[in-house]
Amino acid sequence: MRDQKLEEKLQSVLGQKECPVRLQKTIDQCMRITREQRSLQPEERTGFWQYLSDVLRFEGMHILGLHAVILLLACAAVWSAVDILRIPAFMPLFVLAVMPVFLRSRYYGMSEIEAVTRASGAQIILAKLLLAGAANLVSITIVLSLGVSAQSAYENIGRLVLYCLVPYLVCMSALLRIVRLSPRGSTLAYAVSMTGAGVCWGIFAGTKTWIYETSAMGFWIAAFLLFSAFFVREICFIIGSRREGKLYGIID
Amino acid sequence: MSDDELVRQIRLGDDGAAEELIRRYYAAVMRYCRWHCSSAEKAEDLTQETFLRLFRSLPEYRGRKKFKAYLYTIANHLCIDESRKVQPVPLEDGENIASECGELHQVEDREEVRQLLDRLSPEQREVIILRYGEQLSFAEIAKIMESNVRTVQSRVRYALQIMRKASYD
Repeated sequence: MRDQKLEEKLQSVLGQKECPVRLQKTIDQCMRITREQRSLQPEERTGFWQYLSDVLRFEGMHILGLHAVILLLACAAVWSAVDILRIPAFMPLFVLAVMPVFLRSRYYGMSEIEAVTRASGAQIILAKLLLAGAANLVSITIVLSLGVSAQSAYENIGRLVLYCLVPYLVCMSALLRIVRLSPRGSTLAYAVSMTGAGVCWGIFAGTKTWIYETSAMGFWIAAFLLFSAFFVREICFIIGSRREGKLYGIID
Repeated sequence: MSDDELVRQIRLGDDGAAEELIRRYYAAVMRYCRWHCSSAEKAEDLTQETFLRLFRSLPEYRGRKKFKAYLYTIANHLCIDESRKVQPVPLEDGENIASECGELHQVEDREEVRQLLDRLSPEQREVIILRYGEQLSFAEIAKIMESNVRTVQSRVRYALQIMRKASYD
């Protein structure tokens, strides 16, 4: 037998088809196994991005609606020649706009139900924070751009960003801390204090103008770094809780 | 649809994908088992058991285009277990095959190949069946036999040399 002929013969003989008799029985039994396995499989937790899209669907309108109202107020104030240094007074109001979304479940006593859903508590907060942060960023950028262009204060833009970010970080860190540590009753107190903080900041900017002078830049940078650290610490805590799948915040 | 895609669909609960996967490989696995068994009925048993084991272990299967090797590894292990239980006996008498297939020359060819395979060591016989019967790549055979590709290649080469020499004689 020649070499090639041998290989051809091997292929033809070894590859001869067999006639399956129990094929259907095998298929039925395999399907029974897969059905059994499916019924025993634990249900998967909702992925973060899917959860984010769900949060956007349910909370997006509230976040964007309240932001639009405050943005309109802020733009109107800036347009009617309000002192540019009073723009930071709107920062607590922007945080106030996202407050209902963060504290609603606690206010209505639904935290426990939220905690036993397929997403962890930290995941819920992180998703809301992402949406709220994006809305805040857009609104603050619009107000700042409008303020700077209306009053042609282009050289002060760096300082103005710091003036806005410091109150924003203070209020946002406080909000996250309240979500994590404070009991249910503090919701209203927080709403009042946010509004109060906005008013105080406005008065402060009008009366204590020396603190906005160039010589005080060090104070603003120090404040920015300090409150950034607080804010980052809260975010790290949320991310850590999310990874470990822990419950987040106080459930009363 | 690729094998790995079918496995993914089965995991998602698609019964049609399960049926397609079984139909795709049933005859091939049965043919493979048939070369290791004394009877067609035993080969059917081993084939069925191969698929049942495959489906039981499917949640642990980690794709990466190695499904064929994974399936034949299960079949190979079952065939080895079976060969330990009973001594291999001649495939079957020519009369039976003739009545099944109706082609006498096929019986002759099959008998001739069987005689040639009998001259090989178990490892050499296995690589020849997987290479020429199941058309598997050297890499797939190496994975099934828990060996490296070079060893498989040399086993095929030596096996062919022995078979050529025997056929000249």
